[in-house]
Amino acid sequence: MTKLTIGEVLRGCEVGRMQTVGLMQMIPLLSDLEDDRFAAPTTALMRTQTYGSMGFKNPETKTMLLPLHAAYMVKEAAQDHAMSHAALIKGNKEKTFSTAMCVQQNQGGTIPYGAHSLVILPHVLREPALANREKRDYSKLWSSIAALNRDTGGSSAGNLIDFVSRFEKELDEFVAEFERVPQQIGAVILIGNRVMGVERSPSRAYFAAVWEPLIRECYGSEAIRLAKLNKTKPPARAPLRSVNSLDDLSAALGEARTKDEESAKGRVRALINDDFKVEADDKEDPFVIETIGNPQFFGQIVREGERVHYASLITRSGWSNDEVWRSAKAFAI
Amino acid sequence: MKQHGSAKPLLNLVMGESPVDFNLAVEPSFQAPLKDTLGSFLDITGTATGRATFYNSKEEQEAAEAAVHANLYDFDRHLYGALLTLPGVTERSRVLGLPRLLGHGDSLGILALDKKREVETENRILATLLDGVSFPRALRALVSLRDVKVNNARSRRIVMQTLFSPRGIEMRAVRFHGKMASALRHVLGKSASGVIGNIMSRAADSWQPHERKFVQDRVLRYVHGVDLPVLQVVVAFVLGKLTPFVTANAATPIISAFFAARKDLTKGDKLPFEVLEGIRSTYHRSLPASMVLELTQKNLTKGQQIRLQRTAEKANVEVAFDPARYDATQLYIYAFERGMTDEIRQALDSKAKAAAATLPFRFNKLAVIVDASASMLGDKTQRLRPMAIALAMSDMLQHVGTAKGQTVGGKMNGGLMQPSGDTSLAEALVIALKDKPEAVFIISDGYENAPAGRFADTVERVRGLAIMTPIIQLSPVAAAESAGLRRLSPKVASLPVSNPAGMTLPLLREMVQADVVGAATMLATIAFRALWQQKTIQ
Repeated sequence: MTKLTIGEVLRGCEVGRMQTVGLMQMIPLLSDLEDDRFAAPTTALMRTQTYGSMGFKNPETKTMLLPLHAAYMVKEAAQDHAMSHAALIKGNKEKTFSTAMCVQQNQGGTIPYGAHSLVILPHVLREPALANREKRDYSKLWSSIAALNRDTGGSSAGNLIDFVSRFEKELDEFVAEFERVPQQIGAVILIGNRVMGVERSPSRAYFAAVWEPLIRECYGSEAIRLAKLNKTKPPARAPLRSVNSLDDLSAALGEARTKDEESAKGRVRALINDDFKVEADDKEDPFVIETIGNPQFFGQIVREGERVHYASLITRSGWSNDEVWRSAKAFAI
Repeated sequence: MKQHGSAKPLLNLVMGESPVDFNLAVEPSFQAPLKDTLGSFLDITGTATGRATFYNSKEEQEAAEAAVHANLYDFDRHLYGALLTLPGVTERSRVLGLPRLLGHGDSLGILALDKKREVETENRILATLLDGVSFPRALRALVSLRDVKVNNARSRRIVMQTLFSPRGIEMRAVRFHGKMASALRHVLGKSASGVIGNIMSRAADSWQPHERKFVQDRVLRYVHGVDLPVLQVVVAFVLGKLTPFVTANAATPIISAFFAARKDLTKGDKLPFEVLEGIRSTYHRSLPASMVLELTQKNLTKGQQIRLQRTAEKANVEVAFDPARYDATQLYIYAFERGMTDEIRQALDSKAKAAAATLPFRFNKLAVIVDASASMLGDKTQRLRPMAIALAMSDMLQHVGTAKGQTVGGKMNGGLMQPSGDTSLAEALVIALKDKPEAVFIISDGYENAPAGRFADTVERVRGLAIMTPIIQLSPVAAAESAGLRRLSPKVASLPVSNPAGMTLPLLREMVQADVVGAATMLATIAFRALWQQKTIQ
């Protein structure tokens, strides 16, 4: 196993201006380093032939990268499904994955090949999904989905569509509130001032393709869940001091912006040197999918030699619970 | 601290006198509900498109619209009808009012009209509403009379005169004969429709005296300016009575072409595009769709011209496109899709000047801030519409005074500002105020994220400096609830707008909040003055 840090995962990126709305903050990751050898997942044709098995056709000539926890909730009367891990499919090839998960307990039927709309699993489902990525059991996520529904006032069934339908309007708001900026290839997402995830894409075009599923179903859902459970509060923006002229107000706005940005950078700075343990999972030459983890984060990356093209890292559920302990002063006499 | 900008009223309208005497009397206990009702009415009738937005589903929009119309009608049907004729009211809102006004539902009656002019006022209102509305929309309203069980002498007259108005009578018949039949059968009754259809499907010189009287009393007396053979064929065609007199009559070449094209598609060159395409896909499947476009290009409606440009290009068919025939928002959406040209830019400039000329206010110096962030892309079903409206508004405001503009976010591409990036309007506001404008207009959907709330903080500081310059947010979206309008700050006026020429309404809405009876009187006066410039209904 080789070691890795967040600093390495985000090599070549700079932070953009933080966006803050309500509970959520998004720090854009900007970069001129792009690699256009990856096809975005939006043109993939997907089907399920049996429960727990997802087949993909890549109609592009480039290798297609399926993002971590790609999920599909279809209009047909068929059982919605999600992937347990990221995947690579060579150009013009098909591939089937038998460790997929059903995310619609009360619906039968298989999904025919089609260009179905991509979502990414809600944040809270991703840890159990990845932890069980090698298990062949289509029902492995049902209890987690049921818990998400219960926590947010829904039924106790493993139907992801239940949650997404109930909060459709709120989820749409996240898409309007957080805006992709030029040169953006990734983001650090915070909820209630806590880092919840780090996302990096191989290119701006790829990021544009996965942006909406990330901000909507993945992180937006977590903001909704935590708000419902009263487990978070909105981050305070740096106050605007009193002023004595318009010029002074311009200066005050600049100062407040600098404070907000420093606060955001401080959050990211704290993560940069944390080591990850790395395990190789899959490969499609010359790219390798690796599962990486440390006490705070886990997720998957796609690498080519030392170069990281893609990363999707999620904060572990237990990490926030221990934060109070960790931030307490060490004992000293 | 130095005070600059002033709190003087934003508007100084020149109303003049009303051509019809009226008295608006509102009991004190009704003033607050009237304020809410009138405010919501001005909001929603100036912006609602009935389509989904980021915030509300189509059903939510429609339910809110219906409630707003019902509430104002309940106060006074004449005030309701008159306000529907104001400039800036959407076509959709006008059409929603028609069935209500054609009925005789009771209202509280807060606006007492001069009795001698009451009938004429109603007739003028109806004529104006219909005049400003496209035929498909008017037809949908007339069909809906059946659902609301309205069938009286006036509604019959309106239906006949609308369905059979002379201009384009055959074209309308071949495009909309299904819905026309529904509207006609409702006002005539099922069995009378059958009788009339049979009579009309024969040459008039074969009619018996009692048949002539039957048709005269129910149809002919309402319709003017249409030759009898043409009217006969159209009515019989609409009612499905397809004798040779109807299907192959030299007086009606378009209806004859409708039948001839079933055998030979090339005979359909007089028909509308979608009608001939329907015939092709039923009777001539082996022939290519591009043949239909080629045969019918000179008959395309202006909406089809703009929509079919791309199809035409692929099929190597030239479709004429005249930018002068479209409104500014449509032109910007077209330009986003197909590219900006000098011709379109000139048309946009002249439309901006014309729209500015309709506004009843002017400034010496104003500031305009356009939010061009990514959220101004809009919902999937109305892609780029918010940005198109914003640019059209900004163009118009350049002619309302000496305007200094700023854009927040966005990037220029092909001569057009494309929405992109985040939203930080606070700094732009301060820059604008340093120039001491008389007013600051901010055209934004209200989504702010750098961070959210910073604009409101900034307005607080500005007001703390005793700078009272009016700051007006213009939102190029509509929402079902007035609370759905996303305000950048509770201390700025926030107005929804759907087209530049419709800015008067939202600004008047602000006046309603200050003095509802005065504002309602003013609105009624403006509406009656405009109504008396129209022709009367016969």
